[in-house]
Amino acid sequence: MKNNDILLDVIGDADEKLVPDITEEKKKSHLKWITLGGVCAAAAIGCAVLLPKGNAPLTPPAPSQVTTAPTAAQPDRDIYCLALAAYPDMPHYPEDGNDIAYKKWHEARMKLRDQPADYMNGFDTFFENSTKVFLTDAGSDNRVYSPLSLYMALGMSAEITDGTTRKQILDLLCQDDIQTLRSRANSIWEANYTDDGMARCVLASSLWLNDSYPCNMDTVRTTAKNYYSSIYHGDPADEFYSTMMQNWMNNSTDGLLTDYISHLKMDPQMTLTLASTVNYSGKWRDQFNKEMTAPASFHASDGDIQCEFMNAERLTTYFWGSSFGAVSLPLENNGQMRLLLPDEGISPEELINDGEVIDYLMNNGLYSSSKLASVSLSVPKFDVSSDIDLKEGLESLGVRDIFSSDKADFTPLSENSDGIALSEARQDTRVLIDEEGCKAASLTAMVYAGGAAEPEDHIDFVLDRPFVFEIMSETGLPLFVGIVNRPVQ
Amino acid sequence: MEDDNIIELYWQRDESAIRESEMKYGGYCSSIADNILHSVEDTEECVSDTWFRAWNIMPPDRPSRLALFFGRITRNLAIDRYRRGRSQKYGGGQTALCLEELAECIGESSPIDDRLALRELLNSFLGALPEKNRDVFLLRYWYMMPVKEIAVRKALSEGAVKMILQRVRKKLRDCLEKEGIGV
Repeated sequence: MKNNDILLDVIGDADEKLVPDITEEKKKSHLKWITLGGVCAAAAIGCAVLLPKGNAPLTPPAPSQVTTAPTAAQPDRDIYCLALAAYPDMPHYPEDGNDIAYKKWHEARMKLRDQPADYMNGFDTFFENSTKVFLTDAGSDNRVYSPLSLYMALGMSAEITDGTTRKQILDLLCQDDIQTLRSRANSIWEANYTDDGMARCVLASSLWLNDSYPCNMDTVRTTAKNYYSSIYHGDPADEFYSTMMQNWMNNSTDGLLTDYISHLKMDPQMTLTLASTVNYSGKWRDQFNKEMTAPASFHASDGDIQCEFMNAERLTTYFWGSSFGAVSLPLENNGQMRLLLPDEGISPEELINDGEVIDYLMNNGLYSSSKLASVSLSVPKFDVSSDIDLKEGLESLGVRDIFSSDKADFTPLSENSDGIALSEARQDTRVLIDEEGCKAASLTAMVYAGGAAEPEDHIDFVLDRPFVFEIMSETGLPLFVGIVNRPVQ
Repeated sequence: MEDDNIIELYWQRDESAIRESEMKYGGYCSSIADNILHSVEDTEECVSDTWFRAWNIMPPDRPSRLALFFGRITRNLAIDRYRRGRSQKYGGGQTALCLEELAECIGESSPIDDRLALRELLNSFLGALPEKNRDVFLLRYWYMMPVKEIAVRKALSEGAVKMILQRVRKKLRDCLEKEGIGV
């Protein structure tokens, strides 16, 4: 008998605990849908403002200056929505186990997932380079970054630029030309789009034009079409236009970033404001037992903080490297959250700069050091956010000309584009996880002295000191990555 | 009927055990046999043989997962049938494809003489895989399910399933090579 025949036989003799039970798969899925309690929500907003030469950058006004959102439409205003993004059909996930509805839901999902094999090419290098830049210098604060949101905002920026300005963006995104980037960004958008009532991962974009500045509408429409973007134009000096933009941002981020957005006001001198958001929410596939949640100390770098810790015993895959241990918490039909605990003495920032860690963060499940283990999991509920000024980081990553009114090339946007530059580029991101209820549970600190020795079969995975997390989409794309220094802000 | 009750019928030598098994797991076992043989007639015979093989094993066996217990018997019976010089007849089944794919994982330079050691290594390898990848691998090579069906079950594109399988096979090949198996 040949060796591959023997291998086939031996696979048939595999430990039955490992073999998936296909008789109950679908039924279990429906049951979990009804009983799930955990929620993971995240949102990011990237905002880029183009200003003509000589104008001061956008500055958030003091809270007292913020206008309250109007409660009714104001038709007398000269504000127009030129194009509203039309998202693909996504049937609701069938709660009642209806086979026909399930098939319809599944087909819609598969249609979106059916993308060219190379559509994620280049994203890994962009992720590695940008994450190292944007997750540093957090100090004792939290830091959260959405590579996907920035990727989309830069992709749109590449559409409205040309020459070296565009080339610098393409280089950062590791794409050879604008057509390739356009096609891949579109595939990334579609492959990751989910909004079925159970899970959500929506990348929304909008372009806000100044109606006194003539733009090349072909460029604007091409950008909008490829990035599922809406287009508005109006007078940026009109407060209602600002409010409209704030409302769009709030809607696109499910109100998670209201505090930040309420401080944004449109610059009266702006040529174009571009907003890109990622709105994500999902439910734990295996919920935490709310009776196991208990208060405990989180050892932040500047002192202990009392937090609520969610506790669970899981038979799950444990990953480890020379300086970290990690587990993954799957979300129902919406990817996974991965939690990385640095070994004692290693900071989360050091971890982010470790090639082995980046390899793990980019690698959807084929990381080499892993084993099935019984894990005592203890995860603090957290609600973390950060506001990153992207300008310095982008410049260090080689995207420089776009910020210079002397060098930037915005000819695709307008024939009269001299002196236009990107004046402001920020990303505000918030991620929170939670569940209900509480009851005491014992917590044991995990101590792994350096080295990448294989762990025992039972592991205490206690996130009671600063750690790193990642939210990875169902397709294996890193949506959010962050450092939690203080679970509760 | 609950699995425990079906097992109890076998233990009591009650022939309704076979009817109950057929009712509850007939379709499940048929899909496994059909994946391997792709023949209605042979699939029916295989499934029918499954209940009689189970009748001879229970007692003394008392399986903890009855579906898998039946599924494993069906799989073995179907592969035996496939190998009995009739592989050409079952050209439309998944077995030839699976064997071809598994040939990527293991060399033929030295014959495998210690199946127990290979089983232990394989269990440890599978145990360390992330659940999704393990499931995809076993749906393909345990259930010998077509890639398309795996894609539907796991809500993945066919391309993604193929990619996972290719990567896991490569990882398995590295693991086997490291242990000198088949090299």
